[in-house]
Amino acid sequence: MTATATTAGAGLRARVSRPVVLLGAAIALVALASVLLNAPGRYVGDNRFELYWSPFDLLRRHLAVWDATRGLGRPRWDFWPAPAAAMALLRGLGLGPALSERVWHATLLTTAGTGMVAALRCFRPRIGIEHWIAAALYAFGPFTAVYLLPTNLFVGHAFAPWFFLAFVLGVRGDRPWRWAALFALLVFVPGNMNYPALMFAALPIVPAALYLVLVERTVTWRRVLTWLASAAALSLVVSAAALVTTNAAAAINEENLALTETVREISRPSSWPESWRGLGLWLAYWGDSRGAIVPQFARFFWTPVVLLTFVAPLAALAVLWRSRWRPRLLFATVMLLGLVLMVGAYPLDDTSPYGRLLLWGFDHFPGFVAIRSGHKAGVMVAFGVAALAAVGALGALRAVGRISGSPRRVRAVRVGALATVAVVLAAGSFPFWTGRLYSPDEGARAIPEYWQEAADWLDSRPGDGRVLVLPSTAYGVYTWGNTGDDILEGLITRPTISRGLLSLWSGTAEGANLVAALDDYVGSGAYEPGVLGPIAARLGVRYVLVRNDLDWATTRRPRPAALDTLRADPDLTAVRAFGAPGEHVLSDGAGTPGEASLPPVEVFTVDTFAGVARAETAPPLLVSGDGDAWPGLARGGYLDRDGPIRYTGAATADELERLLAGGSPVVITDTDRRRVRNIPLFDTVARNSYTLADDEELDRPAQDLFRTAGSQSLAWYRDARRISASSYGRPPLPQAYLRPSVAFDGDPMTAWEVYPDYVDPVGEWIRVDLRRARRLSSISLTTTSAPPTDTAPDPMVITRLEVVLSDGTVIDLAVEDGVGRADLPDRSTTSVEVRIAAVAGRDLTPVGLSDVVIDDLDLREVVRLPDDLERRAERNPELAALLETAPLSFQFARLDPVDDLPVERTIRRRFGVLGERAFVLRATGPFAASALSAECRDVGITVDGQPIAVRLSSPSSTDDATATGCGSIVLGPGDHTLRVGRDSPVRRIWLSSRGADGSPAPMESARIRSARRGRADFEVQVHAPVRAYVIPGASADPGWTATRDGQDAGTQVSLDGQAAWRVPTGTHVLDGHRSDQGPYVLALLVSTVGVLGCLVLVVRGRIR
Amino acid sequence: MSAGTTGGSRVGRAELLGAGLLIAVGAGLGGVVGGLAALAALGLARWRGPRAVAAGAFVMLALAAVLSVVEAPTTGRAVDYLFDFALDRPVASDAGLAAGILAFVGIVLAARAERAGPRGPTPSRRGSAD
Repeated sequence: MTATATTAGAGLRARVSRPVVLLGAAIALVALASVLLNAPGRYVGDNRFELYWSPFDLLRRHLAVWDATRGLGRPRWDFWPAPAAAMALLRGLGLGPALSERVWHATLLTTAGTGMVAALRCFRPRIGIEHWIAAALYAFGPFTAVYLLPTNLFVGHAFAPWFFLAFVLGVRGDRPWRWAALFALLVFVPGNMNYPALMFAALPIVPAALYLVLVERTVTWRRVLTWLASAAALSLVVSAAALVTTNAAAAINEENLALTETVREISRPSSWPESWRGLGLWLAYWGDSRGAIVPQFARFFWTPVVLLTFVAPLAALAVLWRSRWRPRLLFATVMLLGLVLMVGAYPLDDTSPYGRLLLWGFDHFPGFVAIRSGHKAGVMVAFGVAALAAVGALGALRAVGRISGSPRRVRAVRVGALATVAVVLAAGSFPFWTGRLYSPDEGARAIPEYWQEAADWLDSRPGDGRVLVLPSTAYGVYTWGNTGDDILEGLITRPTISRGLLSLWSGTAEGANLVAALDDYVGSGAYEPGVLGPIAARLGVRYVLVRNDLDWATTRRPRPAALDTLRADPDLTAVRAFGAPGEHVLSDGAGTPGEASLPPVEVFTVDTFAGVARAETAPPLLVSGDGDAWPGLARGGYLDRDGPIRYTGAATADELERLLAGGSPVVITDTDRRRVRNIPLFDTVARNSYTLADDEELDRPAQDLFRTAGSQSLAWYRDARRISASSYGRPPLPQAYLRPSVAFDGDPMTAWEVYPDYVDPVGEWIRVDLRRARRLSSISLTTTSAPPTDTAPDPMVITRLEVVLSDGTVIDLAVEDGVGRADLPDRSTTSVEVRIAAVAGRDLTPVGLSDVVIDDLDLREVVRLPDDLERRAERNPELAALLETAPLSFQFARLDPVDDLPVERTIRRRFGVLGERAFVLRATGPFAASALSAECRDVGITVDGQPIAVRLSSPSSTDDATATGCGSIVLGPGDHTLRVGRDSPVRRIWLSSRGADGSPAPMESARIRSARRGRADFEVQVHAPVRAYVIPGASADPGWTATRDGQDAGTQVSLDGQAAWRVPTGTHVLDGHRSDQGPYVLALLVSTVGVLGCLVLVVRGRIR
Repeated sequence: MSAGTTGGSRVGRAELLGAGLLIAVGAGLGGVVGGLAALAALGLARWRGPRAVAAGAFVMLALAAVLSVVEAPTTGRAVDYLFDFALDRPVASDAGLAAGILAFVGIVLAARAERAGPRGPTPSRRGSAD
């Protein structure tokens, strides 16, 4: 052994003395006992399901930067080799997933506790009672309890003291590289689980540097900066692969930030007092009518516990006040910095200048929003409070020890003091020892065997056809247990499409959008037979797995009976059922009679499947819209006869010209709506807001798939630019059927409503921004309120409203019997705002406006179809000429119901035609036999105000019959309006020009001879009798490059949401690979070498 | 003006600047309440010494704790017992803020005072908590 190693070993031995080992063992024991005694035997949702259930697979996936098995293929976003390896080791030793998970939790808690001891020893080397108290406060305090899950964030809490220790010892001692290497290894261990959490965890270094240089004056800035540079350099090296992964998955991370909680939600509970006591984490406060999200922590709001959780921070301040221990300034600074970051922009409505600066930063710097979750800085508060309160407790106990008096009194006082410390520790850590560490609603003892059987059966099938899993769920809330994440990734290795929490888990932008749209459609309960087959064929779906064991009532997912039409689809064949009939199938008797006897898992084959890799010779179908158009295109027959879909929003003008010249038909749809999407609390998939007007925003930016001008469908009003409101429905849950514009639609059955459960109704408003300034004379309004019930006998009602004009004029309006009317002053105004000024009734039931009439203004919502083609044709005469003659269809559809409530009771659309064209109308819907016959009838459809008569195409009426217009409709250039009346059964309408809906000219088809898809590459051999597009079956992504017969295959184009390349006539081999796989492998090597180097440095201690 | 007087006025200006900076930080972090808390902290320090500021922080946090349980909620929404736990206690919130600002000023004043002490880590191995 070298002298250096000997010295280093002696140093380590000095740090790891017997009391240290004893303390560490005690913390580990308590940690293990607490996690094992909470929800014993149950796996609780944490991080990702596959981390605990299939860590070997997860590790294997780290070999590639692309994951071809999830959805249509997507960049891998997780780089967690160390946790995955640790879990693989535990599983390899024979531990089950639940036990492995608890060992992981206990390890993190132990790391946190021992780290706290180690950090305190930098300033109080000899182990004493204060170290025990600090460890208990830090490892089992209130913040720890609420922050433990998910552990991808908690890793920061566990490592924060070690970051601190590495810095202090690194700058103070003679082995800076050892501690810099330890720092880097700490950065490496969690991988890219959550960099902001690690950043907050490392922040105590800043006050430590200030303290050591300015107060203690034991180190210089030069030494500090040198150490930081070395730690940063080593961290970069070990993180190389994680950073490449994170960069490849940037879009996924952006979607996560865009769809999940907002600064408003995060800042709602983070007041100073709540942050002082280590809470303020928004999830601990949130709930809806079903209760709190994390009910196990509700007792933190119980009066005695509230008071007791303030004792530790009070003790910390007492040390600042009474003690002369100089490092108190350091720990107090850490605590205070954490508090400032935790509080953030609270309260949003009246925030501080610092809060305003934060909000400005979030608005102006997109990346800045990654640190919006200030509660992660609670790590610093917990750290500072633990150290100070522990020292304060020691001081108090010593003071008690010095009191004089009778031995009995002295003993009583001492016992009382110790009991006080114990009560404070116990109160703050109650979740650990009262069985409330994990949610009582979560956890699963085991995955039912039928799931493993289904997974094994699917994995054993030949070929690489994908599995489509329906219904989707982001959270594994099954009738047999709650697994947190969905279980699929941990069970099925075969490529699987199942919409997750984030749409981009199902593919890149277009593919993910399509999967989400398909899932929304199937989940709407209005499935039309024959729709899935052609879509599945284009997505390479061979099997459809229907799961009937979801707890659909809790998660608002479609109940098993809602998929009966899908089960009967002529393109699907039931091949296997897993589990016994009715096993774990939740049925409340309201479904179809057979629902209760359905097996929990059903597998169907898709008869239209023709391989994942495809070659298409038909010219692409140009679609103006997005994935929501696909069910209509399938129902309308376009997906059976036309080529692969190319979205016009994604195509350049030159490409459009070329495709139109090649015979591509065009379909303009009322999809790709400008909406805001978010993931509501409790719900399992993202939901959409109502359709917005041009440039309109809500609390977060509207989604925009293509970012091409005019590519979205927009809300349009004849006399208004937009109609908006302060809120609608329950703010965390988009309820488009309660949108503000329905107050102006003349339909008494629809209403804009606000929920007093969530917002104070007084002050809520609805606003019309007029297209031009007007002089208005009167306004009349009808309000809504809930009827009295046993649970709400005194429902809230609106008693007074205020009408506000753009010049600030306010008109008071009394509401009597739900109706109000006012004359407006004779002055010009550009807007009319109606505010709720007063309400009555004690029960917090929804209130709103069902009908608002302002003079003769037409404020009914019309959806304007995308006009991206028109806009480009205006600038490009060649394109305009081609568009005027191309086969053209318009596709309109009533939006599917949400929460079983209609979003659109009527269809009102506005669309543009370039040149005079004759169109044929087709419509589908649940036409009743009595309403239609072979004779022409009016079913409530008008075009430009003219009724369009239709006749039923098929002889018998079904729930989904087709009707065709009696004669053609000639439309001149310009804008036109289509309307479908409120009581009409029409669901979908197509207006097709001549040649747009007929059979295409027969074409020779290309044939895939062989196809191989690897982790990050593919090889397809194709024979093309004419020019063709080859679609290997992976999501479109710029990261793909391909060669054809060894030569550059040219530009990738996105067809059917997947990467495609054109090939000329002949037999070709198309080879593709990810361009980022090479750099990723290199980064993996760099990280591996870096980790090994850091390990050597930690052991040897210095660089010679 | 003598050199001593000039030096004295420099010190005075520096103190004034420092005080202004502390009030600005307080106001930046906590608006009017934060600014007033910083001002009060400086007054307290001048009157009773820097330790009194930390004592003030202690008192304000104790007040925040009590107010967190006794302050009547300002709204009566059904699910807000957790939802708006913080928003429903604005006075407690201000007290907690004042505690934070007082602690901040206390730390700065103590750091300035103790920086003048002996160079190096805490003298005793166990520190001087007592």
